[in-house]
Amino acid sequence: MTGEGSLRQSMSWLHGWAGLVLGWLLFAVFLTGTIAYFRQEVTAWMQPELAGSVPSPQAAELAVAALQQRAPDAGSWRIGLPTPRSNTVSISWQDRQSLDVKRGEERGGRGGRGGGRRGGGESLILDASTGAVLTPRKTAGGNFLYRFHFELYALPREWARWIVGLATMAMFVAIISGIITHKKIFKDFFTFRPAKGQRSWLDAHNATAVLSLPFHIMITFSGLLLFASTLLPLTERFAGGEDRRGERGAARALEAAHIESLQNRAASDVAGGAALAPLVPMLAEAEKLWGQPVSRITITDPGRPGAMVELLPTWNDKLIQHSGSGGLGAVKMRFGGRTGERLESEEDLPETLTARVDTALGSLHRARFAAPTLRWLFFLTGVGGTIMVGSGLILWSVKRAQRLRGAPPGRGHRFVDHMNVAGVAGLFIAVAAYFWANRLLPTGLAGRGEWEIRAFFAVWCLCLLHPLIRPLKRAWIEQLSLGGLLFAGIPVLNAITTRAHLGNTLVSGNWIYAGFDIVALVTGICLLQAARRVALHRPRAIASQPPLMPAASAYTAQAAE
Amino acid sequence: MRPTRTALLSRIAAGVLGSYAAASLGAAALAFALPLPGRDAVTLAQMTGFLIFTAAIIWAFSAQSAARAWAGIGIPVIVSAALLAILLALRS
Amino acid sequence: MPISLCLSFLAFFALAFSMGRHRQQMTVRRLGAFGRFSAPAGWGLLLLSPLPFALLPNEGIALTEWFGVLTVAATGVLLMLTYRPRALPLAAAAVSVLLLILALLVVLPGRV
Repeated sequence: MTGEGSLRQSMSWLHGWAGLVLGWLLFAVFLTGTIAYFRQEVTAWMQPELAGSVPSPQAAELAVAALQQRAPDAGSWRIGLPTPRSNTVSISWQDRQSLDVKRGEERGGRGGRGGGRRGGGESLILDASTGAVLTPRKTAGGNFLYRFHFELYALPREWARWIVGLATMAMFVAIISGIITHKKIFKDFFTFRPAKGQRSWLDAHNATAVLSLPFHIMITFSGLLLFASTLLPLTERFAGGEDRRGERGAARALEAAHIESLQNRAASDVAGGAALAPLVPMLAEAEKLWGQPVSRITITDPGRPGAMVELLPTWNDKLIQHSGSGGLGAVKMRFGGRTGERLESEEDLPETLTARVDTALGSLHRARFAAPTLRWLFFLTGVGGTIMVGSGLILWSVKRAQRLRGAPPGRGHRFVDHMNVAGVAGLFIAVAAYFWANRLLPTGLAGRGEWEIRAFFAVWCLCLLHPLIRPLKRAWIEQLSLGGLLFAGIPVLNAITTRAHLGNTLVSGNWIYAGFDIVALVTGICLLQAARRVALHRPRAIASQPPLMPAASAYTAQAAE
Repeated sequence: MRPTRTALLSRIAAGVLGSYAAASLGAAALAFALPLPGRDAVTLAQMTGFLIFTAAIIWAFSAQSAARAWAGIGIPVIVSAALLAILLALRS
Repeated sequence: MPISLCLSFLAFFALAFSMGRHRQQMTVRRLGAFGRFSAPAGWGLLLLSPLPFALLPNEGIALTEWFGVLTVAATGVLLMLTYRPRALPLAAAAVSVLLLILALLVVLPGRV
């Protein structure tokens, strides 16, 4: 068994099994991960009470007024301004005592993760044109889907990271072995032959794989790197993990000292009055320099002489700007709080090539730098990836069904068929149920977010049971139709239960909300169309076709013996 | 040439466990040995580790026989384990 | 980005046109001059398609957008070949006109 042909055979075998073993998990990861590109927008949609807020130029002033009224003596204020991804203003503040404790820790070079909102703080959401306090319903929001795509749910964090990490590894192997297997990449580049059974599934799988191959490689490899400390723990154990913690502490102490010196400089400047200088000129200055608006403001010691204002932009504009948990922070500008004068403008980039490559891959995976158009491109390629994984799973089943030539499938094959229905069609139903639960559960329900998640899993479990009592084809049709109806019904449900419906959001150009409804509708229509195709499909039409990859099939048959 | 069930299981073991050992130990040795500042050695070793993992899996399933698959993975495992042991001994 | 999208759509159209099977789908019988040059034209256009991004300052993000644009353009050609193959040459003509307008919109303000 040497030569090109046998390599392709063995890679085809590897591709099939690497893709199948954790395939349903991969499908779920791709689907929820794709939705997570719009995590903030999904959360906004799941809080329709916020939909009426319209961004206005006064947003920053309104926020300062609200903070001045509620927490004049706070140690720090934080303001989140409206962005294309959020139309409200968020404010939060931290008590002086808890802030002092934190600073003490930082000076000593110790302490937990900085910037977190630990005890002694509060946060509120405001209407961006009136400053009124909004009280949205509690929801697990887009965050649940985002977390699920790499930490699953209710499992110990490390376990879940191992499981998803191994699935990611299997995905990477499937991509590489798939490239080796698929020899006619360029010849078949534009080929899709619909309604031809197995051939169509293969075409769909190839097309979605090849057309966004750079995306698939990027998302999988960067995903692996995000799991690196879990999957390859030895690298960190022997290479000075303790030093690193020390380094981080030292860096934080240095930063704290730097900020203190800046504050002293601001305090010693007698030009400013006692009150906080107006924010609008600072925002304008930052916007002019950055070429994009400010999205976040932090005011340290607002009531004191050393008051300092820190501004962050809306997007990272370089891939090598780190996009860790906050998504921002590589670029900032600081102003004296009373004088309104710029103290410094800072851009913190990784220094070495390796660190830059690593940061860029992380940025690409999270896509937090992506402004709306690019975000949509990421979303669409993510949809392509989801279709690729789903069609691959179905192809596995269809290919074997054809080889049986009408004979009843074995137990393993039936298991795969069954899981495909629940893992592909059933997941759509579960996600739709999650959104339905958000609209239907009473707004005052205790632990509301948890109940949304329970609805998601309960419905998914039902989808897992349903194929047991239905013939395979009926199960597919029923689950696809139900998923389609639920998704297509989302705009309708939204119109019945809230005022944030298309009738209002389209008119006012509220694209965060309108976009969600439209994508749900399109998803629903696609699922219904898929159900119709399955219902109309006559399997006999393909029985006379030659097997598609005879060599590969022979190898599998051999291997299975 | 028809692989037996044992041969197939053996390949799968080489592909999953052997490849992981090769990636994990190889990356750890690299993280140790690379003369790079700060975090860079670890990052670069991790990136390489995943490529070793992938290459080893592909080797495990494309080698002519299960024995060759094991040999191709076992040797790097032993080499990197030895390297790691030497480096650890040198450090302490 | 729109200019790059137009360029890459035309590029993929030309490449598809250079493949016999896809040309049949478009039911174009005579090969014509374009038929002979469609493959090099396609590759040429594909090489040109990232240039609009080169005018932007953030090269990393521009490259990312270019990959996204390529995917969308190729998907567009593929879907049209599948469901509306005969309309594809027409669509390509329309995209050419659009490209011309967009290019003029970019160039003219600089002159005035």
